[in-house]
Amino acid sequence: MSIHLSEAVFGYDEKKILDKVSLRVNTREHIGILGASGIGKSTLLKLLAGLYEVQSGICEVAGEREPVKIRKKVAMVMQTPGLFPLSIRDNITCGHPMSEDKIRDALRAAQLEEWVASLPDGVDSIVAERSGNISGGQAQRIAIARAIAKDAQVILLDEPTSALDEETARAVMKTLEYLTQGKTVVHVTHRPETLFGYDRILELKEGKLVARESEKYI
Amino acid sequence: MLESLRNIFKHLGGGFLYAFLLILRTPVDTLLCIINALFLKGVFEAMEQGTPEALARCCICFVAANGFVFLYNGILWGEFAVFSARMVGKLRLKFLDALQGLPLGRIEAMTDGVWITRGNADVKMTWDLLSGALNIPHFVFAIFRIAVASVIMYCISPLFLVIELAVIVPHVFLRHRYVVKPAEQLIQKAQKETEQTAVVASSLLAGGDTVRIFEAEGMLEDYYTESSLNIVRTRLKISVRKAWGEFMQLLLGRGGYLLLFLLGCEMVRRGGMNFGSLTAVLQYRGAMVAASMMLMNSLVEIKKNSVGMKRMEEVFDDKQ
Repeated sequence: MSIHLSEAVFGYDEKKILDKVSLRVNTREHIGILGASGIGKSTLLKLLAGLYEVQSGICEVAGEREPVKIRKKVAMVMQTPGLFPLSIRDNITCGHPMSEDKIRDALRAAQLEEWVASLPDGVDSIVAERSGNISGGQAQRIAIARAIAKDAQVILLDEPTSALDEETARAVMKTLEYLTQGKTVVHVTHRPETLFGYDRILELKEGKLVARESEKYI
Repeated sequence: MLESLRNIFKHLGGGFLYAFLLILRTPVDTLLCIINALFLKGVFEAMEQGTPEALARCCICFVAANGFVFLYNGILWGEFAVFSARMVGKLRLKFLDALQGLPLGRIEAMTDGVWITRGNADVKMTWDLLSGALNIPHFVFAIFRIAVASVIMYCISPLFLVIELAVIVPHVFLRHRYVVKPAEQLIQKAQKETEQTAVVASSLLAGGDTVRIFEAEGMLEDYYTESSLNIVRTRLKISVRKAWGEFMQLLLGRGGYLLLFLLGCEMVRRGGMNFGSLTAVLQYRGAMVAASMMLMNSLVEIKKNSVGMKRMEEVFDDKQ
């Protein structure tokens, strides 16, 4: 069992976002969670990422219940890449010791190798999402390379292609396939077509998770 | 820079009033210097001649003249303060208005934090340039003071002026070469480092989720510490350069004073001038030295703050 959520409750002040939500995800299982905007999908993902703590119930990810320990076991790709205004290397390693081969592998898997090689400073080029020196697709690929380099057991995806145009989104989806191979995946989205081939699809409705017919999307 | 100034006032209005108030304020320092010099000259002459009436007349004129200048200056400052407050408010509004009219791509090219900093810092820099200490007003005052003091000194004795210029010109050159210019570059470096620190700090806050999941706190803290230390190092270098400037001022400033004093004493001994005129000359000399320093420091501040004005101008001009 990779993820175990039992009777999990979470909310802001009086408002309950998740009301006794239960979820079991097996190791290497890929599940998609659908839901309208603002329903609490990202909140659920942040609970699974160890960024929030359940107010009651159980949240266990990769055998860990403490948020700090959970964060060590997951990698997350969000709607906005969240790049640091530092070098590509720093954005991938996040300051942790990492071999050149591992960085190169992550760049290759994220289809960034050629682009990075064409930059004057290569992997040491400074990137800033809003500086205009990098496209939305490239920024998202760096975020994916960062997740690949972390090599976490659980991958959490929060609408990673929703801010991209259709063509770029398709290319980014391909790199996501590499990232999610052989991993436990929870992908939240409001676009069912991005969940093609997933093992299970659930829907978040009024603070509860309900099963959906996955065949519908396959 | 004049073109940028014209452009800013074209957007803001009030350019003529600003110039008028500046012209009215310009002679104040010079007038005070002349009053002091004339007072000392009169007092010493009265003492030499042993005429208490002349001494009393001198004192009454001194008090009256100072009172007039202080009153004049006070009224002008009051007017200028009101004008300043209005203009700063207008500058902020214009900046916000221009920001809303910028193409989206231009806004998105920078983070919110950078725009907020610009909204505060660039407005402040622009207004400091126009009205702050050691900026355009003091630059104008200094030039006027040097010109008037030079003419008066020349009238008293051309030799005094030559000696004074022989000390001041190398002083200005050396100070500019070894203090002002390097300090200016260091200030720019410190500004860039401050921006870098702000960017890293905003990443720590705005990118909190990513930072926590990928445990990037250590890396960002290291960058923050490094750039903070760089700022401290750069500021230390600026202080060292400034200390050199003080030393130069002491050496050349006092040297020039001593030279002028010795020459003046010799002239007094030979009967070429009286002691009252010598004290007046020393007053004008002091005014010239102080004005030269003011001029140099103003040039640095003007250069620094004109960066903010240039950025404001770009925002105003890019408005769609």
